[in-house]
Amino acid sequence: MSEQEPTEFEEARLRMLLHGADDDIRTSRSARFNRRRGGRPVAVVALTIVALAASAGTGFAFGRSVPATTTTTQLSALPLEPPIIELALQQMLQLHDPDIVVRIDSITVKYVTDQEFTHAISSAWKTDNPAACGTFSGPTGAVGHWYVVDLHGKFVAESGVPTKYASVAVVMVPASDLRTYLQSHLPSVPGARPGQPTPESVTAVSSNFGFPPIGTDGQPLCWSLLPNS
Amino acid sequence: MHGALPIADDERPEVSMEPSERIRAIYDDEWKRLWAFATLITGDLSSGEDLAQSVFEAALRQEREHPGYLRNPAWPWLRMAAIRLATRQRQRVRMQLDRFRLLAAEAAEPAWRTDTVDIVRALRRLPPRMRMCVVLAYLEDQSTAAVAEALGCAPKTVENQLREGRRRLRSLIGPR
Repeated sequence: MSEQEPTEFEEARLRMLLHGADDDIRTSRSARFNRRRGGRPVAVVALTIVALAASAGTGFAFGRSVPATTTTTQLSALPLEPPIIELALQQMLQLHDPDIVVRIDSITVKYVTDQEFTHAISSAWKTDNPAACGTFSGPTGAVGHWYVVDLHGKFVAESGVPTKYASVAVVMVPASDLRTYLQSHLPSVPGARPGQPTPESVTAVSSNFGFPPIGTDGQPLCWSLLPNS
Repeated sequence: MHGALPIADDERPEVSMEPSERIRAIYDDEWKRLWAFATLITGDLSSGEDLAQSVFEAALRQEREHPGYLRNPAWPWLRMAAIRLATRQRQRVRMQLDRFRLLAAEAAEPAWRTDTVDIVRALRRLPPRMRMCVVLAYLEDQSTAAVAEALGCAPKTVENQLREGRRRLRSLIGPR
């Protein structure tokens, strides 16, 4: 049998699979338009890392203004364990995206409500328009609690050269399910007990709010709307 | 320029509709196709939806600024715009991060067939450029040269990406 035959067979199979997938995807329902506030049956998990080319590499700070109509819950009041989150995030990043993450020196976990977050990310994230800060035209059904994770470490720049960056990661999970979620994905996390993860923690739906536009000061626009908890 | 949106040729159609009406007509015809294409090159239904929406936002902007900008058929422009938007710098970083994020997300919709779930899950394990090469070559039936032009790389690179993509997909999906 020549080498060409298996290749052609594989190509034909790939064509068949892709066209079948194309058909199925076309009949899929939009997750966006089916969201219901307070009624989504699955956990929402989003992780976004915003690599900021900060000159000093560290010291990125959130703005200090807090929307007057929202409340901020302090981290200490939440049912979570920062060391577990930090270790889990470090493991997840280093294991699964070594192309970007070289080393994480420190992680600070902050907490904002979904209202604060949706207000802060605003339409400016989608449009790159600074004037849109504080507005929001995306899905209004964001349900959950946002963990704003401040990552400091060494990351790989676009050029492929490891450089120091100050970065911000945003993780959105139901507060009560965070530990279960991380443990279900990372059995090696200390304190994790092998067990059946809850349906919520397994069936995670990504919520993609995109990257924030970066202002001239190197910070994400509208980021100052997040509380400095 | 790799990051620039494609430029339509000078042969433009008769401008008989308002830009928004024309984009609406194109949207009605091509939305699902673009969404499916974008889903396959990003590896995720939601990311694909976002990308497809960005393409239509760009199309609407262009059509408003230059009525008749989009030629018929609009699909080649939409496809190229999706590729180029997806490979822009910010999108590139974002897609890499999506690889991480996707590990936590379910690939499948309940109604999808097993084969679809398998291929979508396998595709999302590929690097973004390799995934684009595979989708453009085997879903869109684009030639190696056309894929290379769309992605801004050498044809030989595309051949290598396809060869490696087939190998990885074979190991991920398994021989049948």
